[in-house]
Formats: sequence, structure tokens, C-alpha cells
Amino acid sequence: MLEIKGLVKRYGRFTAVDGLDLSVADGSIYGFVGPNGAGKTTTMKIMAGLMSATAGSVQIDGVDVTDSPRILRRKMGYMPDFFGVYDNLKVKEYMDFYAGTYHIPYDKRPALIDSLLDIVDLSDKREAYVDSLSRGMKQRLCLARSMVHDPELLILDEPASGLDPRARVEMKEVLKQLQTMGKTIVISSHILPELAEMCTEIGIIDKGRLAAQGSVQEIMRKLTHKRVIYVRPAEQMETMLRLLKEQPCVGHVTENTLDAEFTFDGDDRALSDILKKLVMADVPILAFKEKEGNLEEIFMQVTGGNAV
Amino acid sequence: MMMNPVLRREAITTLRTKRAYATLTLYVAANMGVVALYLFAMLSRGSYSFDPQNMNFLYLALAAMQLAFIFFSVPALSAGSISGERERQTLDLLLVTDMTPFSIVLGKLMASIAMVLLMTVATLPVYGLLFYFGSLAIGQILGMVAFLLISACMAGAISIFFSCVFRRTVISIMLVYIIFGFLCFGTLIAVFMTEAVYQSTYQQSMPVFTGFLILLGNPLAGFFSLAGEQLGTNLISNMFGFYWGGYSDAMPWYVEYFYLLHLLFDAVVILLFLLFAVWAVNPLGAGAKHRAPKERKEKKQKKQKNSAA
Repeated sequence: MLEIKGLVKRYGRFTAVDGLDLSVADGSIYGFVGPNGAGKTTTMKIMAGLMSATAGSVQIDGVDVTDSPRILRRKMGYMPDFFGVYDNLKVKEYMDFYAGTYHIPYDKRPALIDSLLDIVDLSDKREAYVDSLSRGMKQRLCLARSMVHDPELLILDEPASGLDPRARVEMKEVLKQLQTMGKTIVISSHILPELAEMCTEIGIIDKGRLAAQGSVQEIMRKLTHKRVIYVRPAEQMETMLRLLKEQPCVGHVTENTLDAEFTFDGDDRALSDILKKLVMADVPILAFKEKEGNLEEIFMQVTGGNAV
Repeated sequence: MMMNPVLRREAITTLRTKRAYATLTLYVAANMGVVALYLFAMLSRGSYSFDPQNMNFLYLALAAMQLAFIFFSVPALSAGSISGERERQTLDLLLVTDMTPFSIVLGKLMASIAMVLLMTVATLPVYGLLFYFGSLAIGQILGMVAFLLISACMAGAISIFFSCVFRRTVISIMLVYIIFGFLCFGTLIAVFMTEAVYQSTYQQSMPVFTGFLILLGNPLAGFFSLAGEQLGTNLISNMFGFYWGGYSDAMPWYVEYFYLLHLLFDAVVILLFLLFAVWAVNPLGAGAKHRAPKERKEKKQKKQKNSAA
């Protein structure tokens, strides 16, 4: 769906984006993570056709953004990190205005606006003035606005920034709903854990370069080299620990009161074999899962210790 | 056919404010006031007879008032059209839509002219008084309205261009006033200076065509040319003819139809400035490349100011 090759953006001597390469598959949620000033917003603005690149290309379905910006704007919805609203305009009029900018016929607009406001849970605010909405509501309204032309790709620049925890949860719910609708979403944040649970893939950007790309698990595996497995038996803790230590792929085993964790350096097949051996040895296993690890730690490691 | 969304939104938001109605009321009242004062002055002289010349003067005064209003109000209405969107952080949202930069700029121009059009139409009943006395034909009044609207478009196009280039609305307004000050009075001074140079160098008046060229962009000259044509006094022709004495009987066509050529000049200026504005507002155009480092610098300065506070 989205392919970025060798993207460079320079402002005089300052290089904001330095040879960025990334690709986003259809229907995926791609998390774009990086510290402040890493080049996320610049990259997203170039993707949205709001800025020209110094070098490199951004292609959506094989079409270059700079060659056919209008065609791509019809395929893509963009939500910036900071945005304003118009005074003296009601929510339904705000949506109607943006529907008009995409040449949607007048008669189709009321139903469209109702359905979009329903998705972002703002149906009861149709008659409210946009400047009277809370920050969270404005963010959701802006998200609805970005979907007014039913785009295949959504580029969302820090949609949860400045929101309180409740509004963040609500925003996540909306994004999950969009995922089920089959939208491809590129979403940025400077907080990795915020994105980790909802993204199918993430890219960590630092100083304008892509420091790591893949699923959260893949990135963790690459960086820690070993997987951390959590296991909890109902009883026979001693037997379980003995069996684990006998396995060649198992490294350090940490014993807790009710459960244990061990580092594992092997593939999925070898891991399932360990579980099988424990079960065959009549160890009653209550939980056996791979730990997600400390995302903050990984983020700091990848971005060279830049504070979040 | 769909109405330009920018124009539609601006119409909704502008007409929802009390200020719009207050301005409209005040403007119509001011026009009525001029007419009332004039009639009062006429009647107080004890003359109850009708002199069409008096009505001509009233017509000229009303039309001149409209022109002055346009030159003061249009820059104020349009100079913040794009910079205001930028300040409000809504410009990017507009630029990522399916609207072309041209339709955005055109919508902004139409929105600022729409208010002027509304005010001009609202004052048309005042002109009805002139019909009552029968000194003017409706075609002449419509001709003047067309002239005023084209002048408003020119002021609007220049203002919108500056609004695209400069981030601060005040700077745009000042620049438009300077340009119009130059066109109205600077060119007039230039004419007198050129005449003085000709008189001292060649001991004769400058050619009529030179005067015509210098005054071509002067909205006041265009206005008086049209008004003169309508009232049969041909104010500009007289100015060209008698002041410089360049011709006696045969009036050059460019003097006779000066107002048409001036309107043609306006049309070219409108088109050029609209194209410049499109160039400046297009995020992927060359205009954006020059703007980006400046925006970054300003952002940085704002951040430093905030952290210092």
C-alpha cells in the first residue's frame, strides 16, 4: 500500500529525514514511533502531500505522491498533530464543509455525516459548535473529518497527544473499529507502549532514520536476542524447574514464589516442545506465555537513550 | 453545480455574527445619511425646483463612497484569508482535501467579494432616489456596480496573495494599502513630475499617451472616467485634453474608453495575483520551498519563548 524509499528532507543544513525506507502493507496498523524531533511529523507531512521531499519517493499503490497529489489525496485521510477548528460552525456544518471539499453530493452528506459521527461517538454533538468541544472530542471529530471521503489509508499524526487517559482509551476504541473496517493506518506517537498493543507493525525512527522495523515481538527479539517466557504451574514447581534447566535452548531461569521466567533462544517449535515435555511429565501448567518485555527499555536502547 | 465549499463555509460563519449585520446596517445608514444631508442642504437653500446637475453630484458622491469603502474594507476582509487559516492551524486540513489550490484561493476571493456585493446590493434602494428624479438609467448604475466589483476583486486578489506569502495579517493589510496609495496618488504625483520634466526639458507638455500609461492603473482615474462618461462631462478626457493640450478635436480612443482599459488592467492584475497566490499556497509548489525554513525558524523561536516563560 505505502512504500517509502530513500526519503530525505533537508532545511538548509539541517536534515530532518535522512534516507528513510519503509513499507506498510494493506490493512495493517503501522506505528511510527520516535522521540520528539525525530522526523515523524515531517515524514507524515510528506506522505500527505503537504511538503515536498528533498530526495526519495513516497508511493501509495505504486503512484508517487508528488506526481499525482490529487489522486492520492482521495485515497488518503490525514490528521495532523496540531490543528484548529473554525468559529461559529456547528459539528454537522464542519463535516458538511469537508464533505464539500471532496465533492460529495449534497443529498448523500446527511447520512454520511451521521454514520461518521456515530463511529467517533459524537452523534449527540451534531448541533454543538465545534469550538465548544473538548480536546478529545475535537480529536475524534478531526478523525471523522479525515474519513469523510472513505479513504483506504489513514495517516494519523499523534492522535492521542494531549488527551486524558479516558479520551485516550476512547480514541483507541475508535482506531480498533477502523481496523476492523479494513483501513490501513499509519499512526505516530512518541510513546511506544501506547502503540504497541494496537499495531501490527512498528517502525522506530530516530534522527530521521529508521532504527528498527517489524512487529513489537520481532523488534524485541532482534534487540534482546532472547525471548523471555513466563510459566506458572499449579504445583510441582521443583520438577518444572529441573526440566526447564535440562533444556538446551533455555538460558537463565528465575524462580518466583508461584511462577517462573526463563530466557529462551530457539524457535517456536522448540518452545512448544518444552511445553509438551512439561505436560508429559505431569506438571499441571496454568500459564505458559511469551513476555512482552519492557518496551520503554527497548525504545531507549534503539533511540540511543533519547528521553521520551 | 456545487457551490465552492470555502465560500459556503465563510458565508455561514460570517453571517452568523452580529458584527456582519451591524456593519451592514451602519453602511446603509451612512449612505442614507449622505442622501438625507444632501437633500436637506438642497431644500434649506429654499430651492424647490429640480436641477439634474445636483443629482449627478449626489450620484458621484455615493459611488465614490462605495469605492472608498471597497478600498478600505476588502483588504481588511481578505488579507487574513490564508494567513488566518494558517494561524488557526486549519490550512493543512484544507490543503489535503480534493480542492485544488486555485479553487481554495478563488473561494477565498469570492467570500471577501460576497460581503462587498451584499453591501452594494443593500444600498441599491438608496440609488432609487436618483431614479425618482430621473437623472440616471439603471444600466448606468449597474455599470458602476460592475466597476466597483472588479475594483473589489483587484483589491481582494492582491490581498489574498500577500496573505499567502506573509504569516502576519497586519503586514498584508499594510502592503495592500501602500500599493493602493501608490496607484491612487503615487501615479498622480508621477504624472505631475513627468509633466514638469517635459516642460523644463522640451518646453512643451508630455504626450497624452505617456500620461495615459502612467494613470492606467489608477482606480480614481478609472472611476472618474466612467462617472464622467455616464454624466456626460468626461472628466478624464477633459483632464487629458485641457491640461496637456495634446489634442484639440479628435479624442484618442484610449482616452475616450479609459475606464474600459483600466478595467482590462484590473482584470490582468486579478489574474496574475490569483496565479501568484496559487503558486504561494500550493504545498508542493516552488513557493512552499522558500517558506519551509522560515516556518521552522519561527516554530523554534516560539518554542524558545515558551520554555523561557
